[in-house]
Formats: sequence, structure tokens, C-alpha cells
Amino acid sequence: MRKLWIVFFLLAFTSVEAQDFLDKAQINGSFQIDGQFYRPDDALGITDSIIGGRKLGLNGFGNITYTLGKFSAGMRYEAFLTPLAGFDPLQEGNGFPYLWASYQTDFVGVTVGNFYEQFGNGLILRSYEEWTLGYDNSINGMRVILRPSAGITIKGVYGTQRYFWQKYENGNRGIVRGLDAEVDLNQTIKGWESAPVRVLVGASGVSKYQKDNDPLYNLPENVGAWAGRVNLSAGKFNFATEYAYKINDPSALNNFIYREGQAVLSSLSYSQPGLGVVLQLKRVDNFSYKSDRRVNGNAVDINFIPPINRVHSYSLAARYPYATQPNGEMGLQFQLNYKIPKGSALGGKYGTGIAVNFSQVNDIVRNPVNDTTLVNTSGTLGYTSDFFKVSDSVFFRDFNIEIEKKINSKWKAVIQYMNLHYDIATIEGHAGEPAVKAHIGVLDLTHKFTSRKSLRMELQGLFTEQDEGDWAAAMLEYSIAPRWFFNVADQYNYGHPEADKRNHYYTVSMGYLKESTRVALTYGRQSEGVVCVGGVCRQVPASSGLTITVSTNF
Amino acid sequence: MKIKSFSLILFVLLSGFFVSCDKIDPPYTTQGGGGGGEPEEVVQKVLLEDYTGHKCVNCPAAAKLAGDLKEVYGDQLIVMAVHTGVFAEPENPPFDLDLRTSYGDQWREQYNIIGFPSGLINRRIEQGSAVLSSGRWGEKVMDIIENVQPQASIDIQTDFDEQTRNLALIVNSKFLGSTNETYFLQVLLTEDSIQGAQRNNNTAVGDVPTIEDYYHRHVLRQDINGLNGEAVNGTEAIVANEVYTHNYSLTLNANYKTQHCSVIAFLYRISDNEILQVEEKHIVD
Repeated sequence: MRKLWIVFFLLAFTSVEAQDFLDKAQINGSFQIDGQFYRPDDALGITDSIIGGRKLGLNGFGNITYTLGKFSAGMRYEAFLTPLAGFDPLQEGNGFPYLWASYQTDFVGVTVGNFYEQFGNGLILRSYEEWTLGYDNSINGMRVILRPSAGITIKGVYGTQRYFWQKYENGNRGIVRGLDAEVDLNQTIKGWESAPVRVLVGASGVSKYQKDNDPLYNLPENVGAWAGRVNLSAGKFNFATEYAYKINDPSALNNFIYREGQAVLSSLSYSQPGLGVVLQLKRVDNFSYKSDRRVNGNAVDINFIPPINRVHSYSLAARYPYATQPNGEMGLQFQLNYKIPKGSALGGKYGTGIAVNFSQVNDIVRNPVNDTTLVNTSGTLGYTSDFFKVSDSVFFRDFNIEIEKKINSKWKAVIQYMNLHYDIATIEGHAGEPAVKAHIGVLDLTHKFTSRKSLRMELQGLFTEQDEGDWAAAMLEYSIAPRWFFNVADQYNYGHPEADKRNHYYTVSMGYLKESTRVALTYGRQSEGVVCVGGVCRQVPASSGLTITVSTNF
Repeated sequence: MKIKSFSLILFVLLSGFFVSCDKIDPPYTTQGGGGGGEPEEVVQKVLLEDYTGHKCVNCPAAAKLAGDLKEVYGDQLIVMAVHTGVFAEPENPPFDLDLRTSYGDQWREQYNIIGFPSGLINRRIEQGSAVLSSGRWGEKVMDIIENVQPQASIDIQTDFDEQTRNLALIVNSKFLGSTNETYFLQVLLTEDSIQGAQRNNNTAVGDVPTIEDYYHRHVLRQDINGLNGEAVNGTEAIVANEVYTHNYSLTLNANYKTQHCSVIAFLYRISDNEILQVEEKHIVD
């Protein structure tokens, strides 16, 4: 860190007057602390032994960015002392995992230190940070972005990825190198400037290097991947697709098979005022790509496979979220958003919003490579798979419809129905358990007393014969905009097959917002579950106690 | 022209990436052949503790990996399966087998093992933790076997009486150099090939989701000299080439199959718990 700051000051003081360094600079920052005080709760099976003396979990970060003209630099401090329940124990620690300096002009951009980057949809490279998951795969190295002419962007990156607090040394994980080029043909080809069809093409290549120290397998030390993408837009239509390929990449996650990987993601959409339609397709075959082949958890992913499922915000609708299966999946999603016009019989005075969404993800078909080798046997090609064949095994299906209606100037309602099929054995690893088939209903009513004061009520029901059975949830939230909110909620697992586990998960919370600082307090119980962001998930254990969140930015 | 130039540059650059690709052709696996060195030669042995449970879906693949490593390293690798945690809790048949031990539970808590399967390899701590996911086992075992010079040897002598099921043990420990550090001797009993159900999600290893007639290998059954064992030479310094003898006697549980039982003894440094040397012996030949 000391070295970085020396560079930082040299750059700053050699190029500008010292006074400019302070006066003309812009400094931005954000901070957040999430704390949770745990208490034993016999009904949830939380004992002193489970808490293990760690009664207080604290996750916090501070982010500061300094900008002076074309130069910028920043850092992020993090402290997980001790991490909140459900976060990887390897998170425990504190320090500056993210330090960077950057110089940007119209022609070139150079970043040294840590950075986040994405090529296309991320199928072969995406580094990002997601605080709620405790996930960070930032690259520590260098990045150069060139814009040789209008419409052409070339990016080059190399470095190592963050693995919690473990310092990169002696090849203890892999090195990532990547190159990406994107061309806007309408800006690049003479005469296409005002063509009715907009065309964007891109190509990228990534290679990782990791030494082979394995006593069992002959492992590839350099694993390459490439991808090509096209984006066409014409009027109200947009079509985008990306195909990616990866050579043999045996790893802990794919059971050390030597099959190549493929992924394709396509999207067709139509949009006009009051109407939006999207169709997405995806096929993934053996496409986990990590800079450390030995890691099988959520860490050091070089790539990202975007989910094509609706992200639900209501608690029971979000109880069974889908986690991307990088070893293989085929999925589709259809989304329709329509606003019934104002003044029509169904639209009423304010119009009515309707959203219909369907998504399904199946396994891919896997056939043995020969008569004597079982599918997915380590140290073999693993399997063969017909690109266009879909397995009968359904991982996830979600059909949902949502109607949003402003009834009058005081009342607003949202009604949602969801029909779910959730392969809990595959997605959460509960082998042998039947897939969860659930009906979920939500009613969300908001009453506005004044322009500042409102009361919102949520009623939810989840009805299933599998897993933990039926749930009901209710929530009341009183808001005094823009400063205060007060919330009382309960989730009741009244249909749990075991009578002594039919628990209430009640919470009482309040929040205060002033300027850009937010303070929120919650007391109560949290049910065991899964939190997913972008198809990446972490298990959340049941807990009981007091939670506090303080965040601010400037 | 601009496009053509750009495409050419891009092609050249991308080609550079694909030069740095290693396409591996069969055979994908290396050949085994470990064995434990010449007679009388002191060789460094490794203890792989596999923290597992019969409801852990990824554990059969890890157990198979441990078996594959044992094929490579032979007697130089000693495997011990520690059944502990929620995945090892017994429930309704066929998962009514209880292979847990109080020591396994305490070690799990001591090493903060949350994910399953996880392993400890000679309980060696690196980067603040001794816990290794199965993907790292092979590399770590190889590293110790190839790079660590043995500093001690262990000899186990067993005398088992089939009638009384009494097992008498003599464990001789010898250090190759003198040291003032404190070392403990830990002696444990394992039972191999206990048949029972096992959850599984890997078709290459067995039936999914349950392998009904799974053989649980190298299962830790009980301690012989306490949770932490005992000091090799009390509070005294350890002298090079001196043989420290410890005698034990126990009556074997009637449910244990004697032909599958082994004694594992290891020496560990009290300051960081790292295992210096380990030995295994079947209680009957």
C-alpha cells in the first residue's frame, strides 16, 4: 500500500501544482457497517455452542475515490471482524484489498492496482464485487483501454484475482490475461452512420496460467477461452447474442474432466411505450472458469454466467432463488410488460400495469464417452452432449404474473401470483429431497395519508407440500418521507412437517435517513435460506438478535 | 480500410492468446507407484483427515479422491475419515448410522470447519488456516511427501486377543534430532469399510442421490490416549535417536470388525499442532 501512495503522490505533484492537488480535486466516498448481535434461540436450534462465542458479527467497508482531471485513484478498506453468520470464515480479517490509480484520456485509459472489468456479457471475463454475498473477484494487475477511433474500443487486462485475504505469492493461484475488442460498425463504416440497423460486434480472448502441481492428473497450465458477440438493433427490436468456448479445464468444480466448455446467450426484445417483450435463451456446458482450479466455492471466478430468471423482491417469492449451474444448464425466459392505457375499461383513471414472466432451466443431456466409463468420471473427457438436446431434468421453473394498479390518489395495489418448480437437490445440494412445487401469492397495498406519510401492507402465502411446507407472511411499514420508516413483519412456517419447527420469524425494524446517511435497526429472527445475486448464492443460517446497518456516501 | 487494419491487429493479438493454451491429450492421469521407501529407511508420511458425513453429497467424490491419492502414495499416505457436523447426524433409516465421535466434533470446532468435505493434511497451517477443500488435497500431500524431510519415526506393535478383544499396544517414537519443543503423541483407532447409506450427487462415484451400500472408509472410531494425546517425553527435552515407548491397552468395542480396525499414531508439535510424523498398523495381520 505504501508503494501505491508514493506513486500516487509522485503523479499528483509532478503534473499539477500542489494547490491544485487539493482545490481542483474531487473526492467521493461511501461507507457501510453491517452489524449483528446474535443470541441463543432454542426454538430455532441456535445454542451457545453454535454461536461459538462470536456474539457479534461486523462487516464494514469504506470506499474513497480521488479525481483530479484525467487522474484518479481510490481505495477500499474492509473489516470483517468477525464476519456475519453465513459469510465464508475466510472473510475474517481487515485491510485494504482494493487500491488503484488510473489515467484516462479519450484515446487511452490505464489502470494499475485493483480493478473490475467485464468483456461482453461476462461469459469469459467479469470481475465484480457484491457486498451482500461477500463476493469480490477483483483483478490486481494492469488494464489498458484504447480507443483508436470512434466506435472502436480495445481492452487488455492481466493480473491475479482476489481470494479473500490471501496474498498472491509463489503461484498460489492462477494469473489471468485477457483482451477484448468491440466495434460499433455504424460509427466505423462510412455510409452506415444513419443506417436503420445498428450493429455492434465484439470478440474477446482470455487465458489463465496456473502451475500443475497435481499428483493425479496431467493438468493444462494455460487454459484459453474466447467469445464472439453481436448486437443488432432496428427500431423497436433488439437482438443480442454471444457464444463462448473454452478448452479443457479440469477443476474441482467439474470433477476434473477434460471436456471443452461452451456457452451461448441470446436475447430478442421488442419495446415501445406501454409494451415490452423479451425472450432470452441460454445454454451452458462445462463452463466454470476459475483462476484457481482447486476452488469449488464462490471465489476466483474469471467469468460470469448471467441468470435469465426474474429476481423477486417479496420475501416468500424470493425464498427459492435459482443459482446458476456452471457445469451445465439450458434455459429460456419470456417477459411481457404491458400497461393497459388510462381511460380504458381495465386501465381506469391511471392505467394498469401487467407483467407476465416465464422462465425454465433444465439440465443438459450427458452421454458416456464410451461403454466402460461412467458419466463425469475424473480424468476422462467426462461426457458427450448434443448441443440442441434438452434433458428432462428440470432445475427451475417460474411462472409469475404481476398486476400493479393505482386505485386512486390514496391507494395503490400490487398483486402477484407465482408458480414455482425448484430442484432443491441440485440447487441447494439437498440430495434425495423432492423438487419444491409451490404456489405463491402476494398482495401489496399502499395507502398514502399525505404526500409524506404512507402505510404499506404486504400479505404473502407460500403453499407447498415439499421442503418446509407452507408459509404465511405479513408486513406493515409506516413511512414518513424522506426521513423515517417503521416496520413490523412476521413469517410463519405454519406448515412445517415437524410440529416443533413451526416457528414465527418476527422482526421489528426502523430506519432513519438524513442527507445521504442511513441508519437501520432490526430486531428479531431470520429464517434459514439462500441469498442470490446474479445467480450467485450464499446460504444464510437461521439467526436471532439485533441487526444494525449504517451507511453513508459523499 | 480502417476495419481491415483493425481486424488484422485483433486477429494477431487473439492468436497470441491461443498460443498460450495447453490442450491435454490422453492419458490424463499420472501413474501411481508410491510405497513407503526401503525397509529401515525413515520416510515422511502424511495424515489426510477427511471431514465428512453420510448426508454430505460431495463427500463420496472426496473419499474417492483420497483413495486415488492412496493408490499413488501407498503407505506414505494415511487417510482418516472424521464423521462430524450436521451431515453426519443420524436420522431415519437408511441414514441411522452414527459414526460421530466427540473428538471429531471438537476438532471440527477447533479448526472452524464449516464446508464439507474439508481436509486437514498433517494439520499444517498455511495462510492462517489448516482447512483445505478437496481440490487442494493432492497438491498438499505431494508437497509434503516430496519436500519435507522426516524428523521422527513411529513404530506400532499390536497384540490382539480375539477371545477377550483386548488390544495391547506398544508405540515407539524416535526423533532424528534433539529438540526442546514439546511434542505430543496421539493414538487413535479407525475402522475401515463400514457399510451404510451415503448421499451422493456424482454419477461417476455411485448412485444418485443415495448409495445404499456405500463403504465408509478409514472411519475414526475412538481415541486411545485422550483427546490431545500425551507428551512424548513429559516436560523433558527430546533427545535424538532415543526411543520413547508408550504402552496402551483397551478392550475393543464388540461392534467393531477387528479385521478392519487399525491404529493410527502421530506426533505433533504442541505450539501449532502440526503433525511431524504418522504411522498406521492393522490390529490383526
